[in-house]
Amino acid sequence: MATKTELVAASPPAGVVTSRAAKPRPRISLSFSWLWPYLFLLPFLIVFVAFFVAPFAYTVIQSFYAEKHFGGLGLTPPKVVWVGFDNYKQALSNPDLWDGFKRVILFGLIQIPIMMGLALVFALLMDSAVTRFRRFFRLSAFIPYAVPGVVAAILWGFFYTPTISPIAQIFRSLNLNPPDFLGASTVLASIGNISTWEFMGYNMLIFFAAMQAIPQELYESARIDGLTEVGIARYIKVPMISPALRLGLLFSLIGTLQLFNEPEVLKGLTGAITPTFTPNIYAYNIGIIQNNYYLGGAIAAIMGVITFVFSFAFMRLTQRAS
Amino acid sequence: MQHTPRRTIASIGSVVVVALSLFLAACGGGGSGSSSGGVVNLTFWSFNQQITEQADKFNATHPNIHVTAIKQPSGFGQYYPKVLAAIKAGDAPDVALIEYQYVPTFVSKGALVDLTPYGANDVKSQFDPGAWALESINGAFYGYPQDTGPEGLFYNAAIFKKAGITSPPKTWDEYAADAKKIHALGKNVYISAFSATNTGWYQALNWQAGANWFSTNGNSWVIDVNSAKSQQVAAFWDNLISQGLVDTNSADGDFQPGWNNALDHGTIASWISAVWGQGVIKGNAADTKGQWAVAPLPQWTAGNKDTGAWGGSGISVITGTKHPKEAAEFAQWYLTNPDSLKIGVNEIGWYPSNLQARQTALTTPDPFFAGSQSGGQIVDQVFANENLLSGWAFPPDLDAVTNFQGNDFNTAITNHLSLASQLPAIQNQIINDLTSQGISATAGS
Amino acid sequence: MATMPLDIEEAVPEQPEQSNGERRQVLIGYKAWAAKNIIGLVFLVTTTVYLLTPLYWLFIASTKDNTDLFASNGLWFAHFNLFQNLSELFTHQDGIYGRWLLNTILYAVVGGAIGTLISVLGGYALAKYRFPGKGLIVGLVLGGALVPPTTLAIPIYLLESKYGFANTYWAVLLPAFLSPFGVFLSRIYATASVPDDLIAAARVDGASEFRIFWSVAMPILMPGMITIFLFQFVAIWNNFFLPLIVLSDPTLYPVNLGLATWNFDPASHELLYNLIVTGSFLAVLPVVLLFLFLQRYWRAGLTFGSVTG
Repeated sequence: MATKTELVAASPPAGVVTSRAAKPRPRISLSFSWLWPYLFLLPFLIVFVAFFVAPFAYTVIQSFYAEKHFGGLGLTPPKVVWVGFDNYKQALSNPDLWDGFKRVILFGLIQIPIMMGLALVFALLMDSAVTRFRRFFRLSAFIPYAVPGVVAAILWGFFYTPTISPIAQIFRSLNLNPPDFLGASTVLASIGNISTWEFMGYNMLIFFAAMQAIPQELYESARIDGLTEVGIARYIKVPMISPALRLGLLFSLIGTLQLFNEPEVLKGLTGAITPTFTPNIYAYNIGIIQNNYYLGGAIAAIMGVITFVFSFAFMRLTQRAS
Repeated sequence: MQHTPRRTIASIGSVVVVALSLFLAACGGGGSGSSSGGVVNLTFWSFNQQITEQADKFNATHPNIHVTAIKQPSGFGQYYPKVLAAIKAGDAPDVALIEYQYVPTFVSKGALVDLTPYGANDVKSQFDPGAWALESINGAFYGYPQDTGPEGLFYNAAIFKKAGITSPPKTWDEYAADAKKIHALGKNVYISAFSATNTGWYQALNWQAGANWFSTNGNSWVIDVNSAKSQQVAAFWDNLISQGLVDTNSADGDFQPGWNNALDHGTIASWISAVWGQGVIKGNAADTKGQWAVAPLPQWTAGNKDTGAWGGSGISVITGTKHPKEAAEFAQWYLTNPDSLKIGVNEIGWYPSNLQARQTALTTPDPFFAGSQSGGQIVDQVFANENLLSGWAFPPDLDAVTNFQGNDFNTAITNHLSLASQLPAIQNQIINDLTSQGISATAGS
Repeated sequence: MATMPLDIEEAVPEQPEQSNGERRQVLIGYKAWAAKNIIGLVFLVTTTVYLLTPLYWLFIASTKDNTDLFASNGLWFAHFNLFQNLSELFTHQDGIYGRWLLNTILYAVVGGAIGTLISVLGGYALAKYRFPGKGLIVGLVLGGALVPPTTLAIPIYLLESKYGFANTYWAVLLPAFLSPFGVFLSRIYATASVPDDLIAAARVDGASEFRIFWSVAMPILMPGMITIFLFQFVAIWNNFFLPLIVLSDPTLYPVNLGLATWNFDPASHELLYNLIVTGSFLAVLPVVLLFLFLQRYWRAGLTFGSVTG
């Protein structure tokens, strides 16, 4: 196989490795190799500092200031003044912010397991059970992720609007009352549907890629030991891809706490999505729409802290479990 | 056929090389022009595509100034955040379109240049006084009025006829009676959508009723959202909403796909909208061509012609420009030069605030609006005959007001509460927001 | 090929990839296999219908004019207007759509490729070296994901403006190089698939650390890199808010932003839904093509991946 020769060309044959490894390694290469990991990380760190650390630091600094007028009609340029923790106090004392957090946490508790479960089953089936049209399935899972946001807005507007929804049409033709996708009690589920549709395939690809890296020998020995396919999935594949699972879960958790696009897409269609529906929508409405970078920065920082707490707890929990 | 990693890298590498060379080529071509030979370079932002034509005409006759006009996105949450961010970065355009309702908000950020020292009053007589007043705050003047948005009633005359209504409602009482007749045509048929989130059209109805929500008294804003007149407007709509005579479903609200569909299918029979709404109706309800008509806004007192405005824009000079004099010159030229106005009226579709240009807009009947008059109405004429009331002003924190009003009205509709019951809360929220910014504000009633 | 011609869907034979499933088919009886697989197949087909229906809608919608778009059944054709839409799409505003498409390809290919390389370099270093400060860097990378990107757009713009590259191609491209997720993912892939022995062997052989990364580790990491590239590519392809803030010249727009600016605009009296929908459908196609192109490489290099403790 061509790949094997590539490998051989890139590194010495096994026998040579052992024979050379027996010799003492040249000291010099070890002594300057401490620099390499930093060199490898340097490009990332440069970009990271420029486009994350610096803007975030700026946001945090801003969050301690506010634009103030000093009486009158406020028709002269405002002054930017230091206000200490006032913005934080204002944000934290707004019950809507906490309602928003509760809402996204409830959302995550239901949506993440459903989406991840589907993605995992999909990946497992693709990896073992179904071989025909595998590429087609993989492609179709990926496509929703590739649909741009502006289209998602039009598209879901079309599917959820009672008068034009093809789903509602089907219900009506069966003489049934079509479901209200946009009611106060159903809108969260409708948002969950969009998220699941959009990101299930994304997670599936991550899991599938991780499964592909599992060495075949493991399966063969498992079969010899009499394990069924389900057993292999349960005892080999899932544990072997647990780092990818954890990563997928972690990023879904973060994405849920920052829930923004999907509700924003539906905002115009329903009064149920308020300007404080999720913490991120709240931050956007204050910081961007109302042009209050200062209070918006405070909300963003609060979100960062809360997301950190959840992520940290998640990592700790799953670390202990594995 | 097995692909080797080497070949993968090679093929991806070649894609990157091609893309990079494209990229560098594109970068080379995309440089912005520098000022040369004493020519002043100005940037102009607006929503309209045709502004480049107008700028070309200006540049042709002004050798010492070069204006680059750039159409910007106009969607909600796109244009104004972008302009304000650009101002903060010191990267703002010299001249920009700012809608009337945003002028005080921009002024409160110190973002607009007072044009009085640049000869604004010399051309005052050429403009609609109502529009001019919206740009005048505390003795300063912040932008030349481009177009005005008086409200009227667009209605599908065929459906009105089917409901047994032969002439459009002249008063709000007639409107309410017609709402009942139209809803009798079917449980999905409504005289109108009630769009709680689109706050502008509703504010204009308060404007018409003389309920001036925002005004100044000396050195303080007077916030009067809860006045008797304002309560009257709210009670009128509460009555229709509680009887289910208007469509309060947000998915059928103005500009939503469900609304487009309802207009085209005749399940929403009219729209209270500004003069620019004619283009929207024509685009959305193309299948009902010839059935539509336009009438003045229904009145509180029979025989009056009062109206308020929804939207409309002016052209302002942005603080931080290095060339305020030339920028002001362009802004004034843009809305007084006949060639520029002609493009604005004929191609962009302004209902111009320049009175002379307005006359040219009042000449052609539109066969789309042939519902009440064969051959079609001269749509702009209907609006020109209305009386845009003076006395209305916009607040210095418009986006917060929009947020409060939209959210509280939405909440009311979702929970079957009255709009009227929300007015005190909206008023308090606005006052609190202003005072928290250090702006004086008191309750009007 | 050892595949038994017994698959449920035989109509369109596809060149099957090697898999455990195929080998197993030979081992176990057809009936047992089919019974087990029908459930799986039903799951996959149902899920696929769910995933593809909206795209199908998008295709149908792109063949309609503005009236039919809302007035006709969304899941079936009305008056076929696709070619009219396409010609309008490529001529509206002097054909700026084509420019947007090229811009996006540029942003996504260059940004995705360099972003992936940067991520993999970093992820490899975090996976395969022990060095002081590693924990701190891992924490920082995670921190990069904790703050919602929309809140950083304006500070990024202020920074770009200060250094004079706002409203240029660089304004969108440089931030696109950053992908904390890519670093995490490549760290996982590198931990799992690049054997320490191999690195040690190459070291003994006198290869420099960079050469080890480039010639030994990277080929092994190729499937993971492709996954990261794809995600990064799509993220850039669909990026909206940052370009909106940092670009003011429409000729620099990516297609997603451009189409959003065509979304309803009362001031312009134009209803461009048909162009938006057709333009969106067209904008999804390059991503699909890229996916088809890249998935051929997905399995390459996997054969010698082995997991190290």
